Amino acid sequence: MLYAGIDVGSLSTDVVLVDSDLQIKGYSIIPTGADSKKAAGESLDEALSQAGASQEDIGEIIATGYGRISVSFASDRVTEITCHARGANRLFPQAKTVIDIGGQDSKAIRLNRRGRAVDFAMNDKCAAGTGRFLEVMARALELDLEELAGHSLKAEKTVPISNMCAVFAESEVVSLIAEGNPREEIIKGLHVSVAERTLSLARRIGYQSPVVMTGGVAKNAGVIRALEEKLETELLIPEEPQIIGALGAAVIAFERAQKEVS
Amino acid sequence: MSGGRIGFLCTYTPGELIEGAGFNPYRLLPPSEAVGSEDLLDSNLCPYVRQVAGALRSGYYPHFQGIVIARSCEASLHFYNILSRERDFNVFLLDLPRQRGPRAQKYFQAQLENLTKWLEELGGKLNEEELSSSLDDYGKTRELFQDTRIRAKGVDIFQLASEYNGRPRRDFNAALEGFLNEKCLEENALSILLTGAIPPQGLINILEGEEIILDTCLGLRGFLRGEMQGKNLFSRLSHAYLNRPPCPRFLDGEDRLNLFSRLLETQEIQGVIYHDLGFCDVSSYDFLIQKKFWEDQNVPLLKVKTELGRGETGQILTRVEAFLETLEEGGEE
Ligand SMILES: Nc1ncnc2c1ncn2[C@@H]1O[C@H](COP(=O)(O)OP(=O)(O)OP(=O)(O)O)[C@@H](O)[C@H]1O
Ligand SMILES: [Mg+2]
Repeated sequence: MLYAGIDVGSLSTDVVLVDSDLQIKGYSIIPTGADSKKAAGESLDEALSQAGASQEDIGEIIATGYGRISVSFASDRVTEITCHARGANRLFPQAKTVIDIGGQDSKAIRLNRRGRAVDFAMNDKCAAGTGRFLEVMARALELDLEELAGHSLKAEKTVPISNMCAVFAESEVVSLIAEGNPREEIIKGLHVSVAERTLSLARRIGYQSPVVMTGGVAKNAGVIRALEEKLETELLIPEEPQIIGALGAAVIAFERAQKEVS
Repeated sequence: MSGGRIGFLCTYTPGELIEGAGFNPYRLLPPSEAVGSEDLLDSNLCPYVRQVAGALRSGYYPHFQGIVIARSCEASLHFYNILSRERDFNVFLLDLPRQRGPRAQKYFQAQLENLTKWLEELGGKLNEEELSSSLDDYGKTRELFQDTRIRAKGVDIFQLASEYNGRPRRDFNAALEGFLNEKCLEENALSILLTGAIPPQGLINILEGEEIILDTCLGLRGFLRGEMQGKNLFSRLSHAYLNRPPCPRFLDGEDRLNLFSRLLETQEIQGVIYHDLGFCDVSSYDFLIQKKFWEDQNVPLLKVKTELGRGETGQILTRVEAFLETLEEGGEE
């Protein structure tokens, strides 16, 4: 029997399938696009084919993420705060703090001794310090996201970015390029700005090491480096950080199924 | 009763006098859809006042014979200033003291006397019979709400109050009584206190199905009164209003916390959701006072900041649901 977690985020829809030993049997990451229900179905199918399984093999489905409400075939919905905490705890039982930076939200979550979320802080409405912010800047710099990360590691200095707002920061970046600042240093400045926003969230919950970082932005080595400096601790990064919310949801799906049996 | 409506903004406006003079008090609640008012009031002023101003101009509310603006904060004073320049509105500024001692009571008493004169100028008559029955009706509401053991879904209380807005207090009481008999919820379940500034409908909707105690002037606090003590009607009303559990605008944080201490004695409050209204200094100060209080009591607290907009619902939903989930997870242990 398999248990599914579906994380419908603002940018990616991720599915994880686990078996009764909580081992990952298949997963998928696809863009959410305009139709989140369709994305959920497609992502699930992809994970199932990877696992060599079919719908009938699924015992329970938990949906999470921004679009959790639209997953009508899920048996229940849980917020991504609880799910990222659970997923991170599954991979790193010693973790005390989780930082999830996705497309539109960034979150700092404090875990108790049992690895459950007890407190959290989230960014406000605006895109400052999120994956979307970095995407907008990558576009302004005419680079891919993957390239963005690598470039900043090469920088020797940092050009500070003073605007937090994605719209204003974009024009700031454009004028910094025009002024002839090296691209790497501007990019490093952007990563530092994301790290500073994240630090203030982490402080609000009184973060403690070990800190796990999840969400798509954890694939950005430049942000990781900047954040490790700000938080003054090494980050634990899962092999595939983008599926940790879905993994947590799958773990919860398994637990719910156990409860129903007993 | 002549049936004409008197609009009011703040629950420190004594409905007793308005009904006693033969009018129907109608609370100016924020509209369900935000209405722009940037040309009237600057966008860094209280969103509640701004939305009411926009709604008033757009014809969202029924016709008013007059409007009472209590001077609860600077934003409401600006609102009064704008309205008093418009020919279409009869407005009265009810100056509300920030302190609650004997001198404040005397001052507020004079304000209430002026309010009555103004109501008479509008054609109202403070009729002995109607006044005494309206005093009874408001006293009855106080009794129904005085008992802080009330556990009621915030949504229901709020909806009930909105439904009966502009109707005689007696009708509201009857509905409230039925509601409290039927819908008071069981003890020992997860109960949440919703406090802070006037919450958006979206936040109330999210909490539907939870057991909520609504402190804020939309819920419990708006209906509580102190004792009617004094020599004449006005001094007694002044006493009753200034001695109810204070709203955050009173510079009296300690006394405000008494209501919470009393609630804690009779209720199992598992978590507190604080609504922080954007651009409202009073609610930001109040949050700091409450934060300390709930931390000392070991009760988890979530702050939700909004500008009463509708587009904010998605993020609020995740915050509130995650907060409820952390409560279920059992906290620090
Ligand atoms: N290969 C990569 N290299 C660098 N950054 C990446 C990479 N892949 C994704 N990202 C970043 O991850 C972000 C998306 O993260 P994720 O998929 O976790 O978001 P989401 O869960 O859909 O959003 P949210 O949780 O805010 O609703 C992108 O905005 C991008 O910045
Ligand atoms: Mg996400």
